[in-house]
Amino acid sequence: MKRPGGCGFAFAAAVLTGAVCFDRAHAQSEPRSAYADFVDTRDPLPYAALDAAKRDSYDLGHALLNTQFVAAGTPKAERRDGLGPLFNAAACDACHNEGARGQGLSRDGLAPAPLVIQLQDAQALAAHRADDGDPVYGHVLNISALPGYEAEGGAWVRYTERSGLYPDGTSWTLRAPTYELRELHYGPMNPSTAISPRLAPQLFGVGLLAHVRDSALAASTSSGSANAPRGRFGWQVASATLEQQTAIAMSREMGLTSSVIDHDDCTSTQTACRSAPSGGTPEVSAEFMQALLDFQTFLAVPRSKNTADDASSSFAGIGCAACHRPRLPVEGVDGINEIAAYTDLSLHDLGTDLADRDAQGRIVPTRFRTAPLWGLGHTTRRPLTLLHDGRARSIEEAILWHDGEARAARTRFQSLGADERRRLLEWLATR
Amino acid sequence: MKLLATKLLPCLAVAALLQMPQAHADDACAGFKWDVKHEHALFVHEGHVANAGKDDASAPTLDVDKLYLLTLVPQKTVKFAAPPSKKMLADGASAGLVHFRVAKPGQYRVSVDVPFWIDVIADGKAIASTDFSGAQGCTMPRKIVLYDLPATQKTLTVQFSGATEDKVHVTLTPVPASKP
Repeated sequence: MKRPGGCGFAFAAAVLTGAVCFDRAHAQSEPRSAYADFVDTRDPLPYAALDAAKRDSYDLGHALLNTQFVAAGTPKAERRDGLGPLFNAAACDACHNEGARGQGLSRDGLAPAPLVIQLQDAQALAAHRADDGDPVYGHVLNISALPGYEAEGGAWVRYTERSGLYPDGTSWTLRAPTYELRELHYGPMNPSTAISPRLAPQLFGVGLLAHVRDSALAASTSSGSANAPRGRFGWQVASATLEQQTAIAMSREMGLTSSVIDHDDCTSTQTACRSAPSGGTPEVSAEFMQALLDFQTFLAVPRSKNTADDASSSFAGIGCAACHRPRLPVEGVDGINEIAAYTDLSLHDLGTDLADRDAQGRIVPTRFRTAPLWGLGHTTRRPLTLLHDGRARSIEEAILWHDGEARAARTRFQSLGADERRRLLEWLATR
Repeated sequence: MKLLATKLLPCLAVAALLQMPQAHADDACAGFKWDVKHEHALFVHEGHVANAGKDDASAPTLDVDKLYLLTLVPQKTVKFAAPPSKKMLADGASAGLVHFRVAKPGQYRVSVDVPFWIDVIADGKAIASTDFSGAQGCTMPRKIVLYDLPATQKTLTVQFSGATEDKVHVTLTPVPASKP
């Protein structure tokens, strides 16, 4: 293996000179924060000063994030085989580009790899039990397959414009998506399966979310054991740990096994999938898994290069901060006692317009984790596709989609004057 | 790799060989965020055969607006003009270098049928791409990267790295005015 360059190369010299090898983002004298200045988006930085061994593992994890995995048995593949046979993307980076959130569609089209079509039993989804997938297609609609296997199908997304007016007469436009599953190659889907489009979330700062004090979080809404760790990762907080969340993504979206999940997302009816050659037991080694976790654990939130007038009082005043909490206490992180992730890591009903539909088009009661807003300043580098399914083309559109528990806050946002709305949106774009 | 066999076939046939649903893959080939008809038209050809260089000195100079089928070499044997700007495992990876000359400054697309990492190098430094688009399930092309290329009398170096295939179809095309 060609090890990526980094702190580790300087380790021997550092030992000889008595120096300690710290990463470029952090000098010893700087106060710790979740943020770092990303000079190059292809070089996402850790928030913490890492020793040489940890920096090597972080860099290896970053390299693994970017690496295209290939089919088991591919000549010369060495440690990168085991992909599929059914999958959505061959590299984590295809959906989490250098740690950023996935990019959705800008117009009608086939759902791209970052817009994962999750499949869940509708009753289980409504009860916040995420373990029951479709009996034929499993937990994720796999849009790609290795040669010799059939992809499960695809989802065509069609957008319909809807428009309205603010009380001050300013117009707004939203686009509402509909999903048509095409070319289902393994037969009909269970009619009660919920079709849950979910855009790949950003990885920035996820390691710190793991350290949010349990006492700061609302009571668990899952039906799991009272003693089970509270879920905090994923759009439905289905995973309690980064390791679990990572293993699920590798298994269901890449067809890669790990020590946490020793099987792909093949159902009992997918016999060819179940008997496909293995790339090893597990396909992602313990060293690689640890490196991926170290990368995510220490990955910073990119500090926005833009500035804007402080609109935090408007944000709080209209009620956004009740769920997008600007301060969360963390524990177990050297030098950081609280973070400004703008989430409460809890589930909320955001209304029927955002709720999932089942395979027959019926509304499935759906609650979403409050999306962390930190990193929005980085996201604005590209065309925006926000919310769980990427339908919102701007922060403004994302706010206007809020309903259900967030209806009052959205209504107050609509009632703001044009200048105050603009200032709030500009400020949010620098989070 | 089935690429040689598929080059003369329309997109649906490529999809069938890859065991993808036909309508699905047809959609995928139309799934780029820009108008890529020109690139599609180039990719129906076999491509001019060439060997990518192991270093800057051995890199062949290719013409703009033509399709090439490049043979690459093991990445561990390649001396890059600048380190690949994307960190990834080099396990089993192929790589290579070629040169291009562009007559006019402006926006250009580098299109490939295998998702290699692409760097365009000028004066020893990678030129940052301005955008990219991909179409999973399509190989005509699979990935397109957009660059603002400078006016220069020197040749530009294009580096390929990271993927395990040892051949890649590539073309460098100028972007039509008003179309990114």
